[in-house]
Amino acid sequence: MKGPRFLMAFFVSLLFFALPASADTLQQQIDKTPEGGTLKLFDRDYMETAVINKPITITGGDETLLMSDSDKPVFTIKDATDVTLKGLRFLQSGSAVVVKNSSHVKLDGLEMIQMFSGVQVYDSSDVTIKGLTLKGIDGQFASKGYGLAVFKSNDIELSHNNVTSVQDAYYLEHTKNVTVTDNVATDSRYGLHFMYADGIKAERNTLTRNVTGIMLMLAKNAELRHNKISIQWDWNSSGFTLYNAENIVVEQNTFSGNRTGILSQTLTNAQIRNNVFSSNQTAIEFTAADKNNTVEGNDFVGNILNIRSDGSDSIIDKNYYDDYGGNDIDENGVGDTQYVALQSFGQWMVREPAYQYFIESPAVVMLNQMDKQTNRVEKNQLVDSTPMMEPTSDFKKEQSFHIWALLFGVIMLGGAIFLWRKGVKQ
Amino acid sequence: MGLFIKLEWKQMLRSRWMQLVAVLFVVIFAAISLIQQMAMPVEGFTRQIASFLNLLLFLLPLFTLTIGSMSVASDIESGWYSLLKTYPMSIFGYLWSKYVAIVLSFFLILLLAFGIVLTMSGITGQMQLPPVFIFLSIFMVLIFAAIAVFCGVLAKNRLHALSLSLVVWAVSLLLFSYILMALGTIVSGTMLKWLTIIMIHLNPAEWLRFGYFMFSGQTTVLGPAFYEFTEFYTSFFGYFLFIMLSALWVIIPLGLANWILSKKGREV
Repeated sequence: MKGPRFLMAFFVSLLFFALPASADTLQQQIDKTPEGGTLKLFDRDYMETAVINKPITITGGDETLLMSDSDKPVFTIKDATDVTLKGLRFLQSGSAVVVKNSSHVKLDGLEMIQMFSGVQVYDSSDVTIKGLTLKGIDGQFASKGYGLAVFKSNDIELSHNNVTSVQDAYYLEHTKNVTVTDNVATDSRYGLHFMYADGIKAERNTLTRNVTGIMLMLAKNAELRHNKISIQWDWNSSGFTLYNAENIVVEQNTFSGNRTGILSQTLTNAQIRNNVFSSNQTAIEFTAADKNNTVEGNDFVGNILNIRSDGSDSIIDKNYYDDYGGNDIDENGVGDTQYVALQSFGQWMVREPAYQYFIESPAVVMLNQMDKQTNRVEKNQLVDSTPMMEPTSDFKKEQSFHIWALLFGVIMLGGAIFLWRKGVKQ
Repeated sequence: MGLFIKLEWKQMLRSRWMQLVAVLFVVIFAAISLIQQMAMPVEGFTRQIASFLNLLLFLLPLFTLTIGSMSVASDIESGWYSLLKTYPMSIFGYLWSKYVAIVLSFFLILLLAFGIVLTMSGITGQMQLPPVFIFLSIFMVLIFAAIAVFCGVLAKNRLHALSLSLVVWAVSLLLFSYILMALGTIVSGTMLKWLTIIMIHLNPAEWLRFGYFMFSGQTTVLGPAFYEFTEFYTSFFGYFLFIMLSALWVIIPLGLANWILSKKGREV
């Protein structure tokens, strides 16, 4: 009889020792992990918040799910160094992670669903956020928070993140040395929003269906390269809005289907070169206060208005325009006559927004044709004296065969011919 | 009435002018569609889409107005209408039959053009024929055929009908807009906005252009100044009102034509 009793006592004691481990709160688990150690969270739901203030790596299991039970973020990383959060899933919380006064923080492969806000970083340095996916809550932009927000911090790297349905997908304010690469932002107010930033590098990001793709306000020394900016198509939408910015390089980006590709105000010393502007309502809009900006080597294809301005001293050179009607008799690849982007209607639209109703209306199309003749003598405003004859980009598309369209087409065509013949013969 | 519609339709299809118009429209429509391939396939109001829309706005009303009005004026001028009056057919019956015959003839041209575009799109896989263009074309024919009948009744002879049609076409497509744009230089932006809204309701070409933006979900193209106006028209009541006002654009010209012809009846 002693054997079974002993076994029972053994298993009960096992249960006694095992239960408290998984029943530990998130904070207790963190506190029990030694500095520099790794904490692997249990495969269960955590509905609580915790503060991290020591070097630690926290990883999650396949079933680990983190939620906040209050307005506080699930994790607050405060006055800490060398903190890594990896492979964690967050659900329906105000905020997932807040980083304050910390350095060497790495957030890797975090997943966030139905969050008001994702990650906020304050007064920190050397923060890397990569492989994060975030889906915000439904509703108006005003009722949503930022996806990833960084304030007064330096040496920040955001890469391979995917943020959708938030107010601003990536918000950076008073930051220095920020690298934002290979990220995706969709269905938000601003894709990337930089305020008072210095030393920005934004490359290979894909920004689609936001109100504005990249909003750069009061920022300087930015390099925006190889980004794909498409379908920013709302009221007042734009691919890039460059406001009160200086020393900006916009290079090899693709702008397609935006209300305005690049909208600038008080922009100084910007280099807009080798980009593709395709099928935008307006490709580039300058305002009078802009100074010393260069538009060079870009392809303008299928835009309703290529460049409009209410008078600026921008340098426009060596771009390709699909509506250029000049010749290249000496075959040097450069048009023999200048290209004038100036259109009366474009200027009116800048000055009086109500004119926008008439955009590309039959009357305006006729007006533009007349403009082309009268503007040939224009020397100063929006003139490219060396327009390129060929685009630098390859616009060739793959051939495909659509059987249903063909079938319907043939039926419609056959039906029309049959009805016509029948009508005539009767 | 059915027999008369059939007879009128047959005459229209036999007309060399109508056949020429059909060829012209189909060729231009197909050419613009092919040019469309140049653009990258993106959503929104691109220059290619705008060209497509303008092609419809320029050509369909022009052809419908000229052919439709001259057909009615020719009946009156040649005495065919006087002969028809001896048959047991009301004036409205005559006008309605003419209207239906014009509409059916142009529907056939549209069918031909859309058939060619769809066939080419099937082969190349790159062309587009958004359904909203099909509906817009149908609306366009329905409205401008009614105006054409009215112009035909108003005219003294075929030449007069042609000139009347051209005036209506030029005013609705170009002059109305130019006058408004010129006014915009002396009135405030808000006033320009309200004048534009009034013009949209008074000008069938602008009404249909606005209809395109409404039904394609691209009202944002018109700019933030028209936010409230477009918000109203993209509601359920707005769509209902659009259909009702479009119906009025058919009923009023036909009603006026009936009234004028009744008054003229004693003289013709």
